[in-house]
Amino acid sequence: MFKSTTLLRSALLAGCALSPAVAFAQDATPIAPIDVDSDTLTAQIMQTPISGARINREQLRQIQSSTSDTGALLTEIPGVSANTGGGFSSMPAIRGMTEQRITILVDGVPIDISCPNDMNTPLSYVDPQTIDSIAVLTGIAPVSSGGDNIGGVIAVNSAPPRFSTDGTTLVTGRASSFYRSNGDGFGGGVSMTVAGSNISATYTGSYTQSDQYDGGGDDGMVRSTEYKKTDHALALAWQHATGLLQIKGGIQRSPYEGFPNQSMDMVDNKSWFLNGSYDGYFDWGDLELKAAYRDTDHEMDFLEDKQPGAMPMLTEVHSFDGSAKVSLPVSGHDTLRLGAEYHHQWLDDYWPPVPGNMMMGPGTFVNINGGTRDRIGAFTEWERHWSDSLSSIIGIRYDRVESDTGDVQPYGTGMMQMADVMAAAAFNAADHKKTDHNWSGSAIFVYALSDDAALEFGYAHKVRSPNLYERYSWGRGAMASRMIGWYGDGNGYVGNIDLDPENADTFSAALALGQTDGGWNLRIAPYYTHVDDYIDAVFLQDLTNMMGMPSGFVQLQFANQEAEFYGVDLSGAVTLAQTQGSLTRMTLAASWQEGNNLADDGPLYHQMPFNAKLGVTHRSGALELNAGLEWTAEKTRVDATRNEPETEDYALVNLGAAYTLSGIRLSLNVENLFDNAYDLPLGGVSQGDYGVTGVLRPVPGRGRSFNVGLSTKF
Amino acid sequence: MSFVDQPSGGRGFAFITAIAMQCLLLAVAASAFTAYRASSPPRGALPVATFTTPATTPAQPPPSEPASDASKNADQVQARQKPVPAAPLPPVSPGSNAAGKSWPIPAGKSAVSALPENIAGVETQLQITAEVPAPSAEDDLLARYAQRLRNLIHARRPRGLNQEGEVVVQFHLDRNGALQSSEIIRSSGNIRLDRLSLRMVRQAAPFPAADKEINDAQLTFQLPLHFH
Ligand SMILES: [Cu+2]
Repeated sequence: MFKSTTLLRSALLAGCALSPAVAFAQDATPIAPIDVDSDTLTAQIMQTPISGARINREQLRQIQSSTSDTGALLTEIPGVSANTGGGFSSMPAIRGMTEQRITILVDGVPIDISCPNDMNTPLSYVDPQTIDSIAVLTGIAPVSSGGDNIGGVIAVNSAPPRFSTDGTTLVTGRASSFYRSNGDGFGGGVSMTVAGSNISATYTGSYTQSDQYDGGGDDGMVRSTEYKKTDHALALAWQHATGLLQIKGGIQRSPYEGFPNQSMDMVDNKSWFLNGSYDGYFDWGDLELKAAYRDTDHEMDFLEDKQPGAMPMLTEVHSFDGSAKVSLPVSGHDTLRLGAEYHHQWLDDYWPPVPGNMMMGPGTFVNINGGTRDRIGAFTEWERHWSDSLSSIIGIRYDRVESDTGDVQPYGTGMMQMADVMAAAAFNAADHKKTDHNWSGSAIFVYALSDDAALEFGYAHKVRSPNLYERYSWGRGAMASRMIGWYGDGNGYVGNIDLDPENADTFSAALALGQTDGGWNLRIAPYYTHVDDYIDAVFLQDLTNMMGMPSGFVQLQFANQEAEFYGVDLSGAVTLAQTQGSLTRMTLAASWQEGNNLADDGPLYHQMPFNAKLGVTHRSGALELNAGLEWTAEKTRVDATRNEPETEDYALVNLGAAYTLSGIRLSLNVENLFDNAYDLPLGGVSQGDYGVTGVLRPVPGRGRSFNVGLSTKF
Repeated sequence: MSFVDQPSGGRGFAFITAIAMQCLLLAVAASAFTAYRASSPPRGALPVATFTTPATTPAQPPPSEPASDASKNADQVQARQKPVPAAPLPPVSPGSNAAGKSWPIPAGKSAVSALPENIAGVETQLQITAEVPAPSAEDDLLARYAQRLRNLIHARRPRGLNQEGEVVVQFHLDRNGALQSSEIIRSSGNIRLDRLSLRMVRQAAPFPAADKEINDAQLTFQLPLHFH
């Protein structure tokens, strides 16, 4: 990396020296300036401007002191909910579709599942303090935004490279730190750019840690919620005659992260990546080349709340992602996009023996032996701006997904291991290789009815192939199967080699009224999705504990079923008062949504009940004030197959104030002001507490916390 | 036997592919760099106009022309930011295409066309940029031609960019409206906006032929673009 930079640098210097500044002035006829704006909703069709949402740096700055969990902060967006994982590893869901079904991109690159509990989620590799923007497509995502998904898209981006425009060396950056009283959490983030006219280097780094948090009221400590992690990344960018070349590399290390709703905790996660991209802008169109490599070493065991005991579980993943895309402006109205993508995942998942333990020894339990999942995709998409008030995007794509894995083995061949011995024999006798041919298509229309009203309408047929754990987890012993699954329900899961890809048909509409920056605006977005071969789970057997008594947990197997999702997202804002230098606004967001398993006629697991958020913000010069009320209805629609617990309705009040003095912003937030006790509707069951108290409860939400934040730009 | 130590196949493959992709990226960059050395001026430098002489144009500024002074030139660029045309122009609605519209021809054009095409044209234009004189028929014609060009270029604007910046493009046409040269004389500092600005001009070409009253020397245009 460094070598090539030196090369680029010297090449650039040579280039500067060679291009003679032939200054021979010529008087030219002036033409009145042209405005190229991106303001109209129809112009923004690629971003699905009405159903989609974008969180920018300014908004992140206001919430970064409250959470280190990027997945959780996305719940600010109507239609987005978060399944509880670790303190920085929530699994976001869009319109009821969980993380495995949506596309999550970090700097344009997907990050593969690298844990049987999905602990190191894609968003666990970013920190709210250093993210520049997050774009969320909750409705129909154009096929060019990614394949192998049946839901929306979350794209987290770091800041685009900055260059000096006045010939001097540009030095700019920002820094922040925070403290949270509940859980004694603290951390900091730095971003710094040094740039010339053509070369730019940016370092970003962040650190965060927390102890276990306390639930509200009498809920007490919520065990296994501590965490700690560090991220570092260096990005180099070089802009030259025709485009922009970028290389970014980084590492993450997390020495521990508790998981309240899992049997295991993360006791180590190391990951490094190298991304390279070239964006060329030519007279015939744009060219985008991307290559990315990531290597992850993940280890699970028990943290303090789940001890005594030991059970190391290791996962190693290597991913390569490469893509080439062109965008051709074939006329003033039409753009044609073509693209090809290749994604390779290699995964090893094995559990070393525990010395002296009859169950977990004498050999290594091989859960997934060199599993591979290779995807080749190609798409073509046509964007047309029929007029200033009507735009459309229509696209089609094909993905070929091939997965395979090697033979497996249980810990040993003892009597107590018979279930796994037989399962391994059956698994090894079966053919593991599966090839899926997935065709997807999407069509989106945006129509501006007037300056104050616009309509978005879309349809998509999308297909997702099963992940490696869904297909190749094989253990049928109670313990082995309970190690599999990202549901936080304590149940055991058995994979299914014969799973077919999920096929979804989605209709999505959205109406925008008013002006985004005007006195008021309102957005209403209803949707319906039908999924064929939805990967859910069916009952295999009741699980027993060591004594042979029923444990209350069940063993399930992944199975293709039929499902539907429907709901409405609503958001709006109104200006209450505006004077010179001050602004008071009220915001509203609400989502209602249901998901049904049409095969067993029951509700789907972890569907967020109706929830609404009302906020008032006031800004006057350097002072910012905000107050928020959020209300979540009771969750009575639960998945009987998984013994999902019901949760009560709850209301939370949050207050915040911030003041900026000589460039430094100091903020104070009170979260859950009245310290209400409540259960997280998508929190799963609190296994961290269960081991200590013997009482199985839903995972409680955070009690009151005072959060202090400091941030500055330079 | 070891189930665990078998990653070499997958790892090796991924590694080789990664290296290959990186090499490809470098190659593309290197080839693009060759183009860089051949053509454009360094970005971030003072706004300098590079003069390209079309083969068909006899007009040449006198060699003693003081406009080669860099600081004076910078001032001129500033002055040109203001919309200079003195004659009232029809409002441009986004997306409208003026190519099909007909333009009234001002009276007195024959008198103007009698002027010699070389030095006179240059001097007239200097006056326009320097002190905005009273509109002449010729200026009016030129302003309208410039407006037509503007509409055609505007129709080629990219959509949904979500980036901010200011770019000034200079381009030169021949009498038939063919694009002879185009370049960035003020960079936004963002290569994408610079390149898209050039693309707008280049894709809008060829333009309609210039009225014969318009001097060859006036067929160099400067166009500011505001991206936001
Ligand atoms: Cu894990």
